[in-house]
Amino acid sequence: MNEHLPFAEDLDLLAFGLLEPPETAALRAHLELCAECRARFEEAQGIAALISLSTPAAQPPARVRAALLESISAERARPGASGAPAASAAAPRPSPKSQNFWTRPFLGWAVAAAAVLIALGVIIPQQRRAQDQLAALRAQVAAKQDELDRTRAVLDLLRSTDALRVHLVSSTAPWPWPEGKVYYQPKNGLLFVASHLPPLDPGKAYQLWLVPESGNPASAGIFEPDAKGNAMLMSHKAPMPMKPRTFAVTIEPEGGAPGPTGPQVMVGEQ
Amino acid sequence: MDRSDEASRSQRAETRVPDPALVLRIVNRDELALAEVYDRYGSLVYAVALRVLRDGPAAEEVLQDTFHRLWSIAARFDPARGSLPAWLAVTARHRAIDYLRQRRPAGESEAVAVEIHLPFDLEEQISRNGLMDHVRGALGRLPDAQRNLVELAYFQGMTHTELARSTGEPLGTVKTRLRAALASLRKELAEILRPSKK
Repeated sequence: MNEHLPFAEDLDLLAFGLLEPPETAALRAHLELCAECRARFEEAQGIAALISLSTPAAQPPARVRAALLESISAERARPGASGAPAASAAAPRPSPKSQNFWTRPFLGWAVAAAAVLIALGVIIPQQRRAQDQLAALRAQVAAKQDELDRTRAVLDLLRSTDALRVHLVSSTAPWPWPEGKVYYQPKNGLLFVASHLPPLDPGKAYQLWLVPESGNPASAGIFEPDAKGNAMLMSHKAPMPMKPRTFAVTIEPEGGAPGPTGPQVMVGEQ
Repeated sequence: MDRSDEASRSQRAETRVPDPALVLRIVNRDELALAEVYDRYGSLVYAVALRVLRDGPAAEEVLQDTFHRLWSIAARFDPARGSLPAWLAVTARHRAIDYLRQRRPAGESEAVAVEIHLPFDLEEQISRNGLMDHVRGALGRLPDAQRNLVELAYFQGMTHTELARSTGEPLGTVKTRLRAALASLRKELAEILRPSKK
């Protein structure tokens, strides 16, 4: 259980929705692979549910029920509305007419022969497609293996009890303010996750810096946020041998700068 | 409670359609089953939404939204593994907090798990009020500062950082108090979540 200690107490916080997005992302990655923590998380969710359930009941106005059922009916009546997930169970049975079709021998066999010919024309292209699909699947397996290796590297870093964890926040930006979290260990490298990052102007990039107590800041890499403002940066090689005092993100020219020059977006100290 | 009340309740229990059967009917697009679930748990969902939003019309919106959600995802809900009222209550809380903060509803992975495990018949527990008393008791026994934080966090959806800004306490203090509060709640409530203690 020792290796789970860094996560155990945070699982309660996750179930109660108290963690910041970067911490949530890191814990969810761990939960994907750890049955023990998943069980603890499920229990924490149960406790969170109990707190919801402890709320004294309140009677809603009757009109809400009517409006709900009316909107469900309207949704079902809409053309193209999806049917029941169990629609296959309600699939129409063969009609007596279709059953009678096969009682007419000649026409039935003629159609069967035509079907064989059509099938031959279909099978050969299908074989080619199958080969293409096999090649695509192999490529997918290789990509998944690569992803798994990277996930393991992240987990090694997250599990290490001596990894430095630093929360970076913005002191000036308006809500939702950019924030991030660094997991750093000189041996295993660095993981940085961030959220609520504003989009960058063309030709600009975010850059993460490690600032030692004395000496110049070292760059941990550049990154760009996705459309939702989330970003992740991972480096297997630590940019400096000792634990830095401060981490900071600045906006720099595309490709990065040798030292921080642009505006500071977020900062955190250990 | 006299004997006639008890007999009547017992008869109702026998004729009551179990939650899993209602969910199955909802999967098959049975609107009456949705109405039955609403009659059973609508007041609970509304209460949770109202607790978060403190605004009747907004809570009504969340109430409808939560049942729409059930209608949409019923096929993925396994009532044999999860508790329907627990799922409804937690979903209502998430939806209400999204509403409160004008956020778009979170995606699948960030929102509520499809199954929330509660190893007992909640309807039965609610009818005896024992469960709710137990939970309220556990919350009530927390020190005031811890309970206030749990209330703000759980029913206002504030994160650590927001709690620190809102209360003026250092982030470290907020985290320590919350962890202590949740550890106490786990200690008191986890027992009733374990089937062996049922």
